[in-house]
Amino acid sequence: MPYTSQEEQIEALSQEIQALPVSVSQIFSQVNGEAQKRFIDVENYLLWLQDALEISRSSFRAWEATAEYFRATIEILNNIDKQEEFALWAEGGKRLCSTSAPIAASYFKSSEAFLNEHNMNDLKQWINAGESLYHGTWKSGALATKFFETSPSLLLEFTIERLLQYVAILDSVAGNSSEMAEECLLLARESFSLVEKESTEGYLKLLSSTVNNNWKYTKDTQRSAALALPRIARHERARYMDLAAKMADERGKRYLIFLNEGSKSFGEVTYDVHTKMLDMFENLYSISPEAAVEFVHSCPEIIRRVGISNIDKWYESGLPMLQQNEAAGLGFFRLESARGESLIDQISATVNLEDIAPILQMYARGLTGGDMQLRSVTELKERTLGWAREEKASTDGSNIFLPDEISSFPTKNENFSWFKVLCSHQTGHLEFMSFNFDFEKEGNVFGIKRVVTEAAKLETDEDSVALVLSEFERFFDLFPQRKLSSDIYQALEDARIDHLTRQSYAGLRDPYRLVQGAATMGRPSPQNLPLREALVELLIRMTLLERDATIPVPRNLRSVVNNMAATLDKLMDLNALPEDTAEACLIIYKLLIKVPNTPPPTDMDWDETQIGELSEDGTSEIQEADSASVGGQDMVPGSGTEDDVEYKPAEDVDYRGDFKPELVQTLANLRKGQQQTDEMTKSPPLTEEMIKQLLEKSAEIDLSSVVDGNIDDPSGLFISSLMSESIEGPDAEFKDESGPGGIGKEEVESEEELAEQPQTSLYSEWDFVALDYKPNWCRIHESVIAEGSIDFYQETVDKYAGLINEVRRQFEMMVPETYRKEKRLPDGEEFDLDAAIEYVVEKRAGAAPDEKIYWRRNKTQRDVAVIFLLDMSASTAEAIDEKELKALNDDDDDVPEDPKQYLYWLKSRREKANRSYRRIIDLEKESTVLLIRALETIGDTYGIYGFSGYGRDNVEFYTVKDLEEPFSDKVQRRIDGINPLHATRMGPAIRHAAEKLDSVEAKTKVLFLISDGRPQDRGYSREGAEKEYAVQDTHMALLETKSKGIIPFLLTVDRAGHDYMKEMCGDLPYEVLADINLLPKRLPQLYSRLTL
Amino acid sequence: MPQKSNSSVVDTNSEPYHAYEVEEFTIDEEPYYLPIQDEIEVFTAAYEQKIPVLLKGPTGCGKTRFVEYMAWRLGKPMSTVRKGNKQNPDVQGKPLITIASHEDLTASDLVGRFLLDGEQTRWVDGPLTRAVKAGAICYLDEVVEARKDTTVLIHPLTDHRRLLPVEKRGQIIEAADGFLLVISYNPGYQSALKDLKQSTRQRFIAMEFEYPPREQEAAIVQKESGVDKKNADLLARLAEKVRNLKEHGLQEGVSTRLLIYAGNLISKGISPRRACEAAVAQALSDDPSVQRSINEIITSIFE
Repeated sequence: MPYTSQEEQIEALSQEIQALPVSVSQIFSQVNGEAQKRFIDVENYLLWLQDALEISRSSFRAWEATAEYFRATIEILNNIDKQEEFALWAEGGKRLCSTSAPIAASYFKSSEAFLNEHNMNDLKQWINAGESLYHGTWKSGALATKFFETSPSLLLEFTIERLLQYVAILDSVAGNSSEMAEECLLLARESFSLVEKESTEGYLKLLSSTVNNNWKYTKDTQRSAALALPRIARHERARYMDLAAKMADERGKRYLIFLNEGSKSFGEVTYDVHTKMLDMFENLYSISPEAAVEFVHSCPEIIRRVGISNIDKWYESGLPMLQQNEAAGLGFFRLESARGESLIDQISATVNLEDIAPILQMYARGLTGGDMQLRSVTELKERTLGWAREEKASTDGSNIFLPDEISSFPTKNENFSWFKVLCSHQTGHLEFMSFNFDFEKEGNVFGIKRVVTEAAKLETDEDSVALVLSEFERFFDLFPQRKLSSDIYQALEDARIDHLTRQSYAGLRDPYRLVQGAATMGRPSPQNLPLREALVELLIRMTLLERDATIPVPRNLRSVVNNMAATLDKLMDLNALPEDTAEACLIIYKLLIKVPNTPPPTDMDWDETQIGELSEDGTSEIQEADSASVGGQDMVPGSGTEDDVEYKPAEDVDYRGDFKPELVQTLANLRKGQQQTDEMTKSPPLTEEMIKQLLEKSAEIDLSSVVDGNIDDPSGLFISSLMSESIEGPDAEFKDESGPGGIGKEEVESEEELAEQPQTSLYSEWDFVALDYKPNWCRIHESVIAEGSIDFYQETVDKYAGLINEVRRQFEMMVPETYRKEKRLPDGEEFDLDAAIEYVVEKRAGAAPDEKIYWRRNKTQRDVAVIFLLDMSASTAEAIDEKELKALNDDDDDVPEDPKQYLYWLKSRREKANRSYRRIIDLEKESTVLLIRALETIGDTYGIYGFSGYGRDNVEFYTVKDLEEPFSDKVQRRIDGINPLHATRMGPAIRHAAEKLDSVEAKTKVLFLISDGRPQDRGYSREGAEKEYAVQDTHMALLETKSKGIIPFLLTVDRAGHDYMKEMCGDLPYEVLADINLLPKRLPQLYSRLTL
Repeated sequence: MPQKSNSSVVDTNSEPYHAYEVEEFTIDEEPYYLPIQDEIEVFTAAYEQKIPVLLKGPTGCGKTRFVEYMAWRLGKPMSTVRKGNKQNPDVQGKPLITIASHEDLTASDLVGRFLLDGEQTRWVDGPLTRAVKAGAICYLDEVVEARKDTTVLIHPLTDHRRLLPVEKRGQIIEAADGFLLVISYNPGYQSALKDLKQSTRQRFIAMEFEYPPREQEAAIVQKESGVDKKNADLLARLAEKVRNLKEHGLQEGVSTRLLIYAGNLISKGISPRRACEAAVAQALSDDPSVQRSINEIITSIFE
């Protein structure tokens, strides 16, 4: 160096730096002053400048790195303990810069963040890690750059050692695809933030397994595993990762399913079963990895259905199945096995309304004698009709609404009992006439005071309502505090119903006790309620508990409670009517209204008192003294109302559900009014005004619960639904066609829609490998086939005129055979001469004669129902003649040698080919026409259907003529509409047809299937047995048909049909038609033979 | 077959069973019958006026018992209506000949037929002929079940002529004084095809039988089965509930007869629930869900 002094050197270096691109020199100027100050030692400052220049010279565009170097300087100086360390930092940068300037730039930029958390020792490793990613290519450079950018934030999540492991993984990935590695790196922060420190090891292990086996899935694995981990119980996370790594080692994509869907399943169940689930999983995995994955997937549903305690039972039943037959076990754990389903039903304690609705509906009909419909409360909710509160049982007089399922008790029986009590309570309302309240009718127990009270009220209150919509409305109008009166009335009426039910149905007493006992649990404690509410709560408890149970009674209100108990006691009479409930309600209302609704004083004394004891001390007669002075004054809250809080309605009793006498009676009246519109005098016409008034008054309707959301005028919506209700009747929205158990969405559709929209029904499918049904596997869409032209029918009739006559004669001959002579009977119309002579001869000969010597005409009335099921698969579009042509082609040996003859031969062949060809389906159609002609002569019930479809969810079932449908030109046109469509899934079509036949009454039932080949469809197979599966399912469907008392018959025009038909039909009758042209002739023959 | 009862008289002292000539079968002890309405008066009047009677009503509601009771009542010695039997003057009481109809019941089953007797043939009267001759009450149960040719016989017997043509022998038999034809049928039970023809039904006065009201039914069940009053009441209540299910899954409501059976079982120590399951739920239906529903009603009513 020519310069001697440091100043000169600095000056020279500075100038050199100033000569660098502007962006660098600018930054240099910015930091230079500060740096000069900070470098205590001039040597170091000099070094700084030298390093900068060295960096800038190291490669083209290295000035960027230099700029970053300058920019980071001050911060680094702040972060390091000793100035020497700065050199180390710069050294690392220089090294990186010698390989790649951008990497170095990224290094300089990120190092401050790095050094915030880590020391210089780690820095070295960090640099090494970044460097290791660079392999001299542009892509690896970019990766390394990214690494420096992101790693400081990654290091917030884990240690430098882990980072190094991760870099190793990244490096391997980069060996395959730098893009993938880069994406992983980009995701790393997000992923690692989800992984806890303890799990990191397993996580990285899984990643390295993945890289070694399926590097392509690295990114997916990295993300999925990170998302999965938080879903797993903490103590099982390591094991979960181990398992996943183990699965990943075995290659395949299955472990990803385990990570994604599997972890979701874990997330859906509580942590405490995770260990058990993983135990089971490991066990299953050793038998069948696929089943194990399915198992995890099914777990949440199983737990929901059978409860955690029963999952062992389920698992243990599936295990042997899996061991014996993998397919069966797989179906089981996939919840696609009928056996599995029935097992779940068996071990589950949950009782579903759907399962028991038919039974309970009948039960309710028996008890009430009415045409009750049992429905789910969710349906009620959809009607937004005031009852729209949570899952509470209810009734509107003709429907009983019950919750969808009950699982609160440990056994099925107990849960069913609960259902039964719920149902019995609702039927009790009807049986014991809760809704038949008549304001002016006298009760059986209490006599009548309502009218007196009303008169007294009218005296004091001038603007009383003139028109009421129901007797209940008139009654509740007596009470200024409607909510209170409604609560009292509901408690008393429910108590009356329960009492009468328990008295009349001794067998219900035990379940009732169980349910009532459970009902008191979880109710608010009276000690914490304002006094009036507390008393209502006590009243409710008295209605629920046995006489020897105790309730807390406030000492200073003892006499009120006594009188309440006595009144209740008096109401518990076999002859009590709803009118008596009303009286009792009046009495208790008057008792309670005098009690201030203030929070209970803390020093209040509560005595646990037996209910029986209470009523002995009380009297329901106190009102007698008052009754002379019953006046409106009695009905308003008493004095001392300063601390009064607003009265809050009491909590409903679970099993009693919602009881809305006023609403039910109103609706009933409105409907009645609708029916007899002429008699306007009887019931006032419904006006919105009146309903509005009712809504405002009634305590039964909580408008805020009717409508969720922010509709401005909730009452408007309610009114309209109430109006429509009253006009259309209770069933307007249900349109129930299905009779018992009318629950389910499909029934809600109206009849008109059904005609247009295809109906669907579900059928199970037989899996011959698993030896089990896959429940509800196929969906049949039923629709009427599109109409074509009527010409086809007419043309066919003309074309086959001769054959038609022949067939008709043949069929007509069948009719006289309706009377057949039966011979050799022990008794009959006349002697059978032959037998009689034989008898005499034998007797004379001394032998024991056969006494069966009569004959009799027996009426064997022809009673046949038949379904013709036509294969409409695409293959039926095949030309019949082409087949023949093909056959011709096969024996080419008679091709003429002579050119002239050859030309002639060729011409004739072409002619044949050009002839408008006929398809298999055309023959099927023609045969159908012939059959129809024949069948109409003998009057058998017959239906013609076609089927095709694509996939199990889409089996199409077309009606050409329904069983009960009369023959018409519509049917004629529909025959022309039969066209080749898609695939052939025979099983469900056969089952559906059999179902149709099963629903009609006939002595002989025949299912006639006409097909052109083997059954096949997408997914109508299973691995290793593609064709076999479909054949076996069809076979099973045919057997089912037979077990229903229907004769199945298969006719195929596939000449190669013999090989599979034997297997498909077993010992059931079938025929392979050698010549398809025989079909129209053969079909009637076969038919007459089958149905004789 | 009616012929079967046609066996020779057996010495009742040595044999474990009793066999009677049909004309001699009378009801000597008063059958238990609880009148629900004025049916006894109407029937008596019809008998005196020689008007044939058609009893309608569901199975097991007491039609047969009513006929038995009337036979006993009309045959009582003090009864003024008894005019004696021309053929068998020794026989006390009113003979009652019951014929259950079935779809193979032919005219010759009722009137009689020739039988081979050695080298010859012998004519044997059928039960209807014997009833006509003996002046008995002839009770044709479930008459619509019988073949159509039987109704031809009934027609001349049931109008003012009171004649029974015996075609095969070329005879016409005039009915004895006390003869009364009673037929029964169950309108709900038979299909539309088997309805009684107007020309037939308009030859009878008709009496409708229903299941008795709850209190009476309880009394009947109690009396007939010997069950205690409480259980008899509950059985009657059960019957009322189960009958609500008619047309809702059940073809027929439970009959009083079945209730009595249930009562019989109960009084023999079978638990009421089990007895009702056997005599009601199982007896009424083969459909498991219907059985279950009925069982739920049973378990609600009985402890």
